[in-house]
Amino acid sequence: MNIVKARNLTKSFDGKKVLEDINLEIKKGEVIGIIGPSGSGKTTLSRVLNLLEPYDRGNLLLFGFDVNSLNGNSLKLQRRMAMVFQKPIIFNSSVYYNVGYGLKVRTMCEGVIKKRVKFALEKVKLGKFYENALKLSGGEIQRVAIARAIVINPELLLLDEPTANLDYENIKIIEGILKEMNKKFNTTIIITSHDMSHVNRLCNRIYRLNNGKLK
Amino acid sequence: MISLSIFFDSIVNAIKLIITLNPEVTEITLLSLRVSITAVILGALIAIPIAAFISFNKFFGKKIIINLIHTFMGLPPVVVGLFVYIILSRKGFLGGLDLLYTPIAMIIAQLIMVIPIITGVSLSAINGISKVVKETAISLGATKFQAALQLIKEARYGILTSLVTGFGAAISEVGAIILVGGNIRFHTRALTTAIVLETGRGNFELAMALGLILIGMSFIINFIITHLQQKGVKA
Repeated sequence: MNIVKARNLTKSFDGKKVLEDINLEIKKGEVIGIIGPSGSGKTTLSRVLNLLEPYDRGNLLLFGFDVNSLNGNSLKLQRRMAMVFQKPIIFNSSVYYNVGYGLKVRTMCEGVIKKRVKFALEKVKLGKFYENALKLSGGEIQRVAIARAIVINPELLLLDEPTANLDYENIKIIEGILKEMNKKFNTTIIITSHDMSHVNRLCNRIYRLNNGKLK
Repeated sequence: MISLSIFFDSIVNAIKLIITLNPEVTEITLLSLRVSITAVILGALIAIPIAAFISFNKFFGKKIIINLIHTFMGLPPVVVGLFVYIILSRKGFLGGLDLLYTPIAMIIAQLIMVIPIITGVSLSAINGISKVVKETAISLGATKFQAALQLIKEARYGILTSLVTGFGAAISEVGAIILVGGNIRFHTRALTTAIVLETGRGNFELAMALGLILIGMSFIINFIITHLQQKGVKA
């Protein structure tokens, strides 16, 4: 089954084409890398796939559903995926609140939330349960962002430069989690990065994005 | 030099009036607090969702609405008072409710004043973080409403500032409440209207006592809010 099927996706900002005729097919369980220099359109592509940014032209099918026919009701699809931003925004609250947020908005009960948050935090090797997340270091914040994405157990996980500005230790932890997610839950993963070696270690297929064109 | 001695005598007598819990001073203070706090609470319930809605959505005329809110933040209280007076007077739209010269009329006048203030200041607090918080929440599966609640939560310290600003404007306002309240003793006499009256009468001790209470209340409320904000920033 195709998790993502994009045909001629095009997106412009102020008349400048940021994505141009993107064609992409991603099957369930694949780990896809999209590499390219800064400004090549990687973040925009991730945002379009996460339905945070509308596209101008083309066709996009997510989990077999045509995005054009959603009529603004994208919640059901959005809840099947999660995105980790390059510079994640951490809510001014505890680590527990941050990681449990995705479960809370799905109205899960407190007991389940606690259990799953604990599990996710163990995975990212972070034990600071009740500490304010804003007090954490850059690497720890990135791990909180990964934990709050994996705690949802998404079918599609989008990561925009997840290891940018991280040290080797943190990169190793994050790569380990992604490999486990993919192996254990058959999670489809799309990673955008400019770090070829990081993408090489994780991905089945690698695309190159340059000036909005995918090769 | 004479005026200086009057000033110091007034302060001493004012402190005595406060310490001995003078019934009239207590009554005036409690009414002022009741009116202004009610106006700010009601104002917050109306203004914060408006600010979140404006910040969250793109719609035609958004810039004009924001401009109007900023303009109304500086509404002259006496004009607001006049407007409420006309509405509540016998021939007015709500004249049948018989609210003129009651504390409710004073609350309505202050409510009209504080809504643009709370909306405007909250909007500034929310706007700075609106896009990133909204997108983070939505990418984690939040509905638009849940994301808006998270946005308000994230902007809570800025919103707190809007409440303090609103309260400051309400408690210190005189033009509107004197028009719609009528400054009736033991009924609609607030701190500011009483200060005007007692000063006119040459009753400086009482006016000074009321002035000190007004400043003291502003100080205490600002102190609490600043403390909460600093705690939030440090957290």
